[in-house]
Amino acid sequence: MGLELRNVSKSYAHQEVLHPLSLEVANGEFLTLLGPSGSGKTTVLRLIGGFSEVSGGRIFFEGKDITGAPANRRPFNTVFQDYALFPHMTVVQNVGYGPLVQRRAPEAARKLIADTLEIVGLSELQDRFPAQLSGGQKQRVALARAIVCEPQVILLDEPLAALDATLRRQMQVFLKQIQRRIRTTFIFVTHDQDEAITMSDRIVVMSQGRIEQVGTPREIYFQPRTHFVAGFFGDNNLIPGTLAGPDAVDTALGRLPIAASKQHASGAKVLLAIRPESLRLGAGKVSIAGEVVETTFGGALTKLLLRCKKAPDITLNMRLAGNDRASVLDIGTPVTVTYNPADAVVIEE
Amino acid sequence: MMPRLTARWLIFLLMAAVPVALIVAPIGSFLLISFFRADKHEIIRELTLFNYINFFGNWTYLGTYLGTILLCLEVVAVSVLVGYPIAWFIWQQKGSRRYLMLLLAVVPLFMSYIVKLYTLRSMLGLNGLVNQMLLSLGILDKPSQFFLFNQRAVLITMVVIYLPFVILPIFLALERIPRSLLHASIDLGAGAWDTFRRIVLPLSFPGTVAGALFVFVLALGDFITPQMVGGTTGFTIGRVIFSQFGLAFDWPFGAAMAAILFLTALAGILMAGFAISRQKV
Repeated sequence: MGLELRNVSKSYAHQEVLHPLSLEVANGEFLTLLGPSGSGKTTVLRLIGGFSEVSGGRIFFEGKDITGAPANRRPFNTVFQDYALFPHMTVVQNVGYGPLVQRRAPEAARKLIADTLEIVGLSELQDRFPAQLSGGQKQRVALARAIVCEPQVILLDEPLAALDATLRRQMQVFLKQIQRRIRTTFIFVTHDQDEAITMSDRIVVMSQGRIEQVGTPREIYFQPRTHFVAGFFGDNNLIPGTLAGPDAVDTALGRLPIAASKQHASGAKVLLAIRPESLRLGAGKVSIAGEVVETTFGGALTKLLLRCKKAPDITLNMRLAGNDRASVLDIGTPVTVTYNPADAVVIEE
Repeated sequence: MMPRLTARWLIFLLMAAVPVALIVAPIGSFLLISFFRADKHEIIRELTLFNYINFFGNWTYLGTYLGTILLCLEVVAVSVLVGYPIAWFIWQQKGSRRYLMLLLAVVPLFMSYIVKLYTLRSMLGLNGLVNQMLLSLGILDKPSQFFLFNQRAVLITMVVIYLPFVILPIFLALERIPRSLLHASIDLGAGAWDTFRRIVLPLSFPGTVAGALFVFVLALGDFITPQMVGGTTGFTIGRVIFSQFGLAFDWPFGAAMAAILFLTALAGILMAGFAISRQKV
């Protein structure tokens, strides 16, 4: 059952910021809403949380229509982007706020609060005020304050945006562990592709108020269905061309093979997407000749930028293992690259 | 190193000179005069506690002083009770309407104090707006002297005049509360009342104390309002001090009472500071 959005839309002053969209979220799922700023991902979260009213469509939870329910009547809790901790309350008071205003029995509440602080590792800091905490600790308080209410769904609005890179990675792992432990649905908003891929069960990619694609991280990464999604993760190689049959695309680099596809009609304008890591040095069923124009050693991986011989305006990104001797290439070196047709994805323009 | 240090000191001294000359020196001279004694309009320059003994030993003065403090506390209480809901209401408005209303609330500050006093006097009087309204509503059958030339009139007038001084700091404190805190409170299951009582009220407390302090200090030193609308029962310590300087020409005694009033205001400020600092924000 879980959460269901049916044709939900949102307009401000006659401008539709969210076009009608439908989405189902299973219980216990870690779902990420991913998109650049202005894509409508936070709007979706606010509509689910009840902080903003839908302009059209309905929201259901466990089959019940909750479209008109105010935020404090929904079994959801939010972790806000700026944490929104109450500055005049200690950690334990912040975490105890939900049980207090929900008039839970004090004895049971005390145990619940202590357990929750234990889970997020804040028991020792319980008498500190938010101003005395670091960013990561505040983040934990915000999370504890939400999970102590035992919500059916936790909504997280770019909760890691304010943290530095190292702390961010730690918190990603931590959030995922917590989610596995309490088995609550997490709906997570972020603009960070890596974050989305590493944490989510499913990703909803959004752009300009619309859903571009919904799928598992692997599907989103390896089988993008739109130009936007294909270009959103990493420096994907997108080569324009026309479909020459079920298993080949005519491009400026010649006829390039793809895994047989019946989805698209011959002659259709398409984009051929090949991941940088799918390109290999050497000749094969298909060989693309080019020369190295840029090389960046990054430790585990070496990035190469190739200019194609047949079409100098097309450049290809490539990744090679950093410990691969063959990756040590000077600028200007002529190379031949190949790929497995099964790794090439066709996207209709 | 040394020259730069002396230059710094020089700048500091120059900057300190202005407040010293304009604030500290006059207050200092006042305190000094309060330890002198007046004899037939002549100031005798020898140190004595005569004025202070006279003040605390005489119930006419001490009683008026205590009555004034009580009156000021009443003014503070009524101002906050009336001003807080107004500030809250303005805060609840959206967009430009909010600032328009705030402007309206503080516009009286731009008007002459005397004009406001006369306006209120005419409104509270026997044929004033208040009596007229109560008569036409049938609540009174003849005009009442209830509202003018007594302590109550002083209270009403001071509250009306000083209201902007509570509305403004309370509004500013309310506006400093991030919206996300209110969303968080509701998100965690709190209703409007819980959110107000547990989040809005504590977080706007410093602004409320600041407003209360403004009113207290202003009301304490106000001798014109009691003179204009207070009649014979609305006697305050401000009026007594004024008469010592202006009518009795006993400057040392006036200075002693002014010093006591000054210390009272200072005590109020310290208490307010303590109240705010106890709250960790």
